Amino acid sequence: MMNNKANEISSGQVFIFVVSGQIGFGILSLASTLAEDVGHDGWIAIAFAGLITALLICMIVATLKRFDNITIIEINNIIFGKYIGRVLSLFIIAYLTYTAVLMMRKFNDIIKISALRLTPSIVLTSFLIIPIVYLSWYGLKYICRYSTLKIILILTVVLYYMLLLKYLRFTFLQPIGAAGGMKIIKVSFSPFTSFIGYELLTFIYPYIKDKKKVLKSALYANAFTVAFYIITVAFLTGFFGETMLEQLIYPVFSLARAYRAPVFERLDLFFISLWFPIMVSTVLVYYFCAYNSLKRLFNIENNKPKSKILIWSFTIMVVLLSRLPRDMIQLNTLFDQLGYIATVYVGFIFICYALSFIKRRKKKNEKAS
Amino acid sequence: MKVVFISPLLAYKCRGDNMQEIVSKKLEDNIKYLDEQFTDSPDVKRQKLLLKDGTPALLVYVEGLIDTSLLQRDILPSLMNMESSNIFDESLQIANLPSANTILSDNLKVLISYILSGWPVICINGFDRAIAVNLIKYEKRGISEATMEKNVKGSNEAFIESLNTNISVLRRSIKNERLKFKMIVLGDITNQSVAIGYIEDLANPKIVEVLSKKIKEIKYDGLFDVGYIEQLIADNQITPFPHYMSTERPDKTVSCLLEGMIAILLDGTPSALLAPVSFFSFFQAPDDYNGNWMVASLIRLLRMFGLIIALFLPALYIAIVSYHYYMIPLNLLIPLAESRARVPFPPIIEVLILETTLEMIREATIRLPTFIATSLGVVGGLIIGQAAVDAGIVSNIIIIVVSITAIASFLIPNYDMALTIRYIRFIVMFFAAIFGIIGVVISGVFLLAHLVILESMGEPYFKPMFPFRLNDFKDTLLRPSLKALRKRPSIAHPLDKSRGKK
Repeated sequence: MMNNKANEISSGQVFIFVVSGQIGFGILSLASTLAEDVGHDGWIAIAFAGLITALLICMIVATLKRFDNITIIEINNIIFGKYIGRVLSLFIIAYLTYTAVLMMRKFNDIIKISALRLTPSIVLTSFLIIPIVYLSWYGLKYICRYSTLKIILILTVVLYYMLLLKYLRFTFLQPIGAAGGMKIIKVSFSPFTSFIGYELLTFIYPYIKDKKKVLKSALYANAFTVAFYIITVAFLTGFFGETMLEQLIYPVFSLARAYRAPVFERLDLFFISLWFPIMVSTVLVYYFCAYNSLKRLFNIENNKPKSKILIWSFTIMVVLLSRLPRDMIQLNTLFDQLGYIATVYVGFIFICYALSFIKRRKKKNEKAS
Repeated sequence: MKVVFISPLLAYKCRGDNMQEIVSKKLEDNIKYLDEQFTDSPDVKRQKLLLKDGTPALLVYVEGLIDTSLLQRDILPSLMNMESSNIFDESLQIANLPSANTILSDNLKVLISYILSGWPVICINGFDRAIAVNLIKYEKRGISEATMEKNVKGSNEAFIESLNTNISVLRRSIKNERLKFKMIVLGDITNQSVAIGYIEDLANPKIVEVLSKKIKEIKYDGLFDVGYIEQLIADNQITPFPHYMSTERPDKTVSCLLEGMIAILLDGTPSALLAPVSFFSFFQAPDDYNGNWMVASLIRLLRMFGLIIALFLPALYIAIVSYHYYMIPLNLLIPLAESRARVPFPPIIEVLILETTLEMIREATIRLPTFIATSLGVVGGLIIGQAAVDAGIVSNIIIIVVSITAIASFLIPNYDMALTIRYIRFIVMFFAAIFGIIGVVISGVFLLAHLVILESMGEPYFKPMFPFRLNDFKDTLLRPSLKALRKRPSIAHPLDKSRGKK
């Protein structure tokens, strides 16, 4: 169960993994943030952001290829030495944990708003985290198998848009590019934070079986995400119009309430329920990466009893930390900052990439002398 | 009843201690040893006799396991008319007796195991070997109709308790020398034979090897059903799901063998265990393949729909009525509210009252004689249900919900899987009562997570779906025409992937 085979994944599963990391929370409010910034041209900004992300993915994979078969935790040790490397690794794990905690909190809050207003949050969070802990304990292979469901659900969501196609007004999207090219490029950083998730590749690289196809799978995953985001944002803009969109917190859920089914009248809860498994898998991949990196840091990957203690304490920590943000406003502020932190992390990877050349040269020099 | 000549006993090995008791040349020593071993065994007959040249001999057999009349008519007269030196040829290792199946051995432990399985053993003074003659014949049930897994079309045979008969039934269906059976003896005390059936060049030898190794490693005093084997070799112990499929139908076994799977037959049980299987194979019935593919596809879909209903319907009722009543259509809400207004319990208690009653009726009817069971069904179903509504204990709608759930759960063709689904339904109901629709969704997510980590013989249990395999997936929710099913499912990793050459 705890052997490395349970973590081994194919390049096809890398696709699922990257999509899992990317689609989840950002898209829920993306359309309204974009409407505030660029009006109805949000989808163009997304296309730009997707291109930037694709470039970043290429660079990350190039970095990982230089160090064969190790994660960022070991890369730190190689480049910065044992002690500084470990401290840096701890910071990186803290970033992952922080992301998982914020997502957990947001997941919890969304459920509280949409369905269970009176359930105590701590009980709800403890319940929601059960499948996450369960799958993380068994390994990456199973996480990717589970996340296949996510792809199906996303396609179902797109099908749901079809139901509302007749209410779409294309005039809301016109004229294309009214906000001005420079402005669109400038704000394309804001959807860029909704694409985070690809940086998790640095934590699972050694577990991928056929490394030649990693880049291809990751880029396909990014393209899938971009396509889904563009469809969603363009649809929401065409449906609500930019002025209305600005006032909505979660326009995706508001869309659910727009449809009236023939007999059942209100299907919104079913539609919102579709999002829960999607959100579970997003928290899941961050949770797993944090937990697995901790295991690698303490070198207890094959030690079952110690891993058990670790996963229990880690879970309790995540549940308790998710109570820290005071309210939704603070949570949203923290969530917005997440994109900057992720960018800092991506920048850090490139520093590693640059340093790796120096390190290599040093080694070569040593060998030569 | 006829004498069965195929013998699983060739697999018999000396179990237990390493001390080998060798057949002595002095008959007295052998008699003494056997007497020691067979104290208080009135069914083990020891008959001394004299051969034609006056050499004393000993005949040992178990009454009731052998064909006495055949022994009397054919073996004994020819034995007593022979000279001791003629009976077996030392150099050729042949016993000169009028029997289709004889064995020579010098190991008394082995001989004892033969005696206990219905082979009369003959020891002759002056020889350090004894002859065992196959005369197995015991009382057994004839091949009867399948009772648990009914079928409309196709064969209606079921396995019986005798391993020899079961093997011969399979051999009769697959007239091919590549059908092989590996024999293993299990049960530290009971010494039962297990046959691992597979088709050579089709079943993956790795899986056959892993499975036989696992079965050989079983240490248990006695196994009374293939279910014992299933539990003892299961990959994952913490799960309600059956890892391997047990079936009483030879035709199903044959079709699985043809897909490269492995069948485990245990002496004394009227069912076979098939491995490796996926979750979806528990929702396939042999009838699906016997008729038109379009109709069969519809039935498959119906069954999957039934599965979802059986798992989630009561939970959805509880969730919606307790937390999200605004989801109910208005026209339905009024009668529901009227009916619920008289009921003093919360929905979960209401559902539990009826579900528990239903489960009790179900459990009771299994063990009761058929004629009582029918009347119990009428009492339980009609009278209690209506009376409960009249008395205001439960609402009208819940009766419908619970009945539909019960009917849906009867659609599942496999008994073990149906039990599992019943079990899971209660867990989902419990969480629905606490967390409403979130409870249902997260229970579903957890269920999926659990199914995804399960493995049957190292193969993903939820295979054609997650991980997705298009070729196998065709034959899960739908049933394509046989012409489109040219490839064997990949779950058992068959060596030969295509079915029937074009």
